[in-house]
Amino acid sequence: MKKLLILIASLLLFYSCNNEVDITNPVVDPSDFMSQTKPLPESSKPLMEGVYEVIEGKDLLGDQVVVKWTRDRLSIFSGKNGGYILLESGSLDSVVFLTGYWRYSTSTETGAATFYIPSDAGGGEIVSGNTPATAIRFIGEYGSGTELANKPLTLKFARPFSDEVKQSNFYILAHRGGGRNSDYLGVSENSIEMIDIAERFGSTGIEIDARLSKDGVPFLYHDGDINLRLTQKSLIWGDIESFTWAQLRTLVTLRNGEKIPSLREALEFVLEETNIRAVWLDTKDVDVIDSSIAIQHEILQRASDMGRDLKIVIGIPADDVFEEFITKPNYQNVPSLCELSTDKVIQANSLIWAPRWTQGLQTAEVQQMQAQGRKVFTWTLDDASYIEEFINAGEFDGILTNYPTIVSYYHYIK
Amino acid sequence: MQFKKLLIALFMITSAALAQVEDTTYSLSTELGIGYSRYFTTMDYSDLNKNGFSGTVRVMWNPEHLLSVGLETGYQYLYSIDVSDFNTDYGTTKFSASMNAVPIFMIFAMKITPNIKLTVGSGVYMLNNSGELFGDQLSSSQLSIGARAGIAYTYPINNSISIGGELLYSYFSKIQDQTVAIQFLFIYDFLKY
Repeated sequence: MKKLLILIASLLLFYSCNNEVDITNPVVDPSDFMSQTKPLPESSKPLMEGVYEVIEGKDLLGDQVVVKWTRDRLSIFSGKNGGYILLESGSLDSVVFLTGYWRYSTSTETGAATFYIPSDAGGGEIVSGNTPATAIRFIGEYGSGTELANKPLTLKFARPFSDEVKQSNFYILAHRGGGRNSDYLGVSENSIEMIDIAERFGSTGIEIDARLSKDGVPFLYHDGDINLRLTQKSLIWGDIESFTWAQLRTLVTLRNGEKIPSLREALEFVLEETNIRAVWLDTKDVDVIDSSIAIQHEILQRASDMGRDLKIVIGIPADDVFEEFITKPNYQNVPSLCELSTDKVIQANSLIWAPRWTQGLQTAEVQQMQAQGRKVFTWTLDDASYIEEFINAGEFDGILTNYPTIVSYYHYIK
Repeated sequence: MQFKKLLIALFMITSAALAQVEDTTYSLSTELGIGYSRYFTTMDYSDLNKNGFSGTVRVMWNPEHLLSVGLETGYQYLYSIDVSDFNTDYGTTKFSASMNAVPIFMIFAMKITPNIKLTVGSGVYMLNNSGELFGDQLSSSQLSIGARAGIAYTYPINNSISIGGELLYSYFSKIQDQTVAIQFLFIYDFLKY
C-alpha cells in the first residue's frame, strides 16, 4: 500500500511540472517624472557610450560595465550573470535623467534602476552635445523585485570603446528573435513584440524560424507542433503546419498573448521599425524555401531602395534543406547561410558559414571562408566563459546566442 | 547456528511455495466501463461543451496478491464547440472544433477492501482534433503522455461476473487539462488458473 501511495505521489509530482515562469515587473518611474523631461539630442548619445567603472553597486554589476545606446534605450551590460540595465532618458535643465530596470539574463532577478548625471559630472555637456571635459558620472540607485530603487549605484566613465570595437562590423544575433531573455520578459520568442525589443539587449541581428501553413503562408514558429511551451491553450492542437494561416491566426495565441506573425510581417517590421542589420531565417521545413526566397528578395529590394544596411539570409541547417535549396533557380545568387561543411557553403555560394560552436574556434577554416568574402557566425553560444573565449581568441564575424547581453559585454570591453 | 538459520529459511520458503500452489487462483479479466465525463480547463469559451462520453476497456491480470496489472484503452471525450457566427479578424464564419483522446495505458489496481479498489495508470493518449473554420477542415492527431487514477466499487454477481461503478480522474500532460468521469463497470473473469 505504501509503495502504491509513493507511486501515485511520484506520478502526480511528475505530471504537475509545468513551464510557467513567475515574472516580476519592477516599479519604474512611479511618479511619472520622465514625462517632465526633454528628449536628449541624438548627437549627445554617443558621448555617453563607453566602458564605465562601477564605483557603487559592485554586488549587482561587478567591477565594470558597458554603456551603449541601442535604438530607443540606453543599455548597460555587465559581466555578472548576464546582467543589464535598460533605461529611458531625458534631460531637465542641464541634468540627464535615466530610469528603467535591471535584470539578470540567467535568472528571474530584476528590479528598478534610476540615475542622473549632474551638470558638473558631464550632464551639461551631454545636454548641449559637447564632449564632456570631466569623466561622466552616473549617480543612482537600484532596487530588488518590486521595491523602489534604494541602494546606491554609481558608475564612472573609464574609457571609450577601443578602435578595434569601433571599427568592427561584429554581429550579435539573438536566437529566436530575442533569445532566452524572452522567458523572463513576458514577451514570446519569434514574435513581433520580441523583435521590437531585441536591440535593447545589444542584438544587431536576429535569428527567426520559418514554417509554412497548410495554405502556403510562411510564418514564424519554432516547434513542429502547437504546444504550451510556445502558445497559450487553444482549441486546436497538433502539427502546426496542418492548419491554414487564417486558422492559426484566429485560434492560436503565443505564450504571452501575441499573435503568430507571418514572415512578411516580421521582415517588414525589421525593415521599417528597427536598425537590425541581419536576419538569419532558419528553415524549419523544406517546403518553406520558395516562399522565403520570394519574400527575402522583395524585402531586400526595398531595403536597397531605402539605403538600408540589411542582410536577410536563408538558413541551410541540414542536408535535406541543402538538397532542396540547390534545386532552386539561380540559387547561388540567393543570399544564404549554411551550417554544413565548407564545401557545401562554396557549392551553395552562401554569404555566411555558420558552424556549431562546439566545433571550436576553427581559425584556419574561418580565415579560409573570410578570404573568399564570406562571413562566419557561430551558434548557439550561451556560456559566458566560452563567449569570452570566442570573442577574444576567435575570428568570427558574429555569434548567435540566447544571451545577447553577455555577448555585448565581452564584445564592447575588447 | 548458521545451519539452523538455513534450515528455517528452507522450511519457510518451501512452506510458502507449497501454500501458493495449493491456494492460488490467478485470473485474467476484462473490464468494460462506460459513463459521463466532465472536462476541466482554463480555456475561457462560453460555447465550449465540456460534457461527454467516457469509455474504457481493460484487460487485467489478477494474481493472488491484492495488486493487479493490466492494459487499458478506450475513448475520452474532452470538448466540442460549434458556433455559427464566430467573429474573427477575417470576418464572421462558422466554427466547430472537438477533441477526444484514446489512451494506451498500463494500469495498476489494488483492492483496499473486498469491494473497493484503487486504480492508477500511466501511458500515452492519442489526442484527436477535428473541426471546421473558414470552410477548411481542422484535423490533427498527436500523442500526449498522461495519467489516470480512480476508485471503483464492484459487486460480484457470480464467480465470473462483477458490476460496479468507478470515479476516474484523467490528466493530459500535453494540454495540461483534466477530466473527471463516472462510469458503470462490467467485469468478466474470462480465464482462471
